[in-house]
Amino acid sequence: MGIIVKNLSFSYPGSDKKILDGISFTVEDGGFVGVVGPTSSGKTTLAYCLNGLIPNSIRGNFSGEVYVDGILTTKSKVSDLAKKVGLVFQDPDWQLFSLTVKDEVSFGLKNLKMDRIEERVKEALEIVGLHGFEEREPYRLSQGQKQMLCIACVIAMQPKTIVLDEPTSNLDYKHTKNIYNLLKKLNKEGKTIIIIEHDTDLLAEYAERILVLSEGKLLRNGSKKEVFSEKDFLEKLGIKVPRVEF
Amino acid sequence: MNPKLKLALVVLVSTLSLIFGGNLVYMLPVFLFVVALIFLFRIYRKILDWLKFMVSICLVIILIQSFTYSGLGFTFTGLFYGLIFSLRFLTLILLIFIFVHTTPTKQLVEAFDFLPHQFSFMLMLSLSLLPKVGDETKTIVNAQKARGLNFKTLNVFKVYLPILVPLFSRTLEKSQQLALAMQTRSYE
Repeated sequence: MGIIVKNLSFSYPGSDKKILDGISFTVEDGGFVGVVGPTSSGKTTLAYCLNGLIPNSIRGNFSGEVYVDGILTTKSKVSDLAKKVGLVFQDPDWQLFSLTVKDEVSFGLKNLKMDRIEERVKEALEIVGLHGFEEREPYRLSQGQKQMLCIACVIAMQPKTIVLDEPTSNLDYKHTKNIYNLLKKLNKEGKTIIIIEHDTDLLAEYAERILVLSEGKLLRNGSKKEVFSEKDFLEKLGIKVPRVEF
Repeated sequence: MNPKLKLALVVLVSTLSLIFGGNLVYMLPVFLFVVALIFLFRIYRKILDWLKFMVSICLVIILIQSFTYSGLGFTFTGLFYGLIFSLRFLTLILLIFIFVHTTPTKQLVEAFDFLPHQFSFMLMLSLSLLPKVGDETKTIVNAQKARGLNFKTLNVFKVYLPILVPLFSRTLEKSQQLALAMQTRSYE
């Protein structure tokens, strides 16, 4: 069923400025979607809408509908939607809080009262290449490892969709490629990936569809070939035109 | 050593120092016991950095007691009480210092697991945030130094406001993100 967004608008309390303005799109199950746009175009706000953080936890003027797997986000708790949509934030340092890697990954599983916790933690850490790090302190991991751990925390909860908000903005090229290769692998295994990214070269290589946001409006929604071929349009918005083949 | 046993020892010695606090004959062995622990756990090097700060606080306590015990003016009784109060203060601080420095964070949290889950979780969260707040402080201090903030000035407001204001707002903002991240992992 995927994700269906219908005429979504949002503004923060006390402000008339619409951060999201009448956005509608659909993401099919198993899609790999890149979201691009200039700074303050509403990308992160959109990510928060997809897993119900907006409007359930972050209040504001919300209108429209977001369906995740047929469930209306306004009618469901964030904790329940977490089973459907996992969210990886930009800054890994402020997502990790446990004293060991193992505790960090099992946190969500314990909250969901899932079975086979040990096994699931092991599997998730193996997928992201952190097997053997179970007893390490998350704080002492490298930035790339921390971001991988954030992804492991999400994978362990086995959501159908993973939303990532600029997960590689603080990483070097090697770690960035590692994360994208992992996302591609997860996508091939059936996960839906929605990633907010400034580096259009990466999206040109990995994503299938591209959404272009600007000032809260969805300006383009098409295949990467269609969107990235519009060089003048991208340059006008200040979005880098990909230099790689797509 | 078992962290719970360690915690029990801390509580016991703290209680003794509070009970014997007014009597130098009883207080001195308690203090010496704590000093012996410092050597037993071999953390004297770590403690040296803090000792200067703690001793200066004790001096202030002794001075205030000596000159204000019985009206304004020096009294030997005030000096005695100042000394004994400082000894009690040092005992408690050193005890906590030893406990924190000889117990890994995970064990520290485990020592409190007899408390309701929410309390031990809050403790774990606070302890895990400390290094992050430390990092943020370093970044802000360096940024303000780069912008010419003079740490040698005696004006406390001029030095600390440019650090505390961004640190406070940044920590609040980041804590909010942490709360969101926890919710996305089904924490209610």
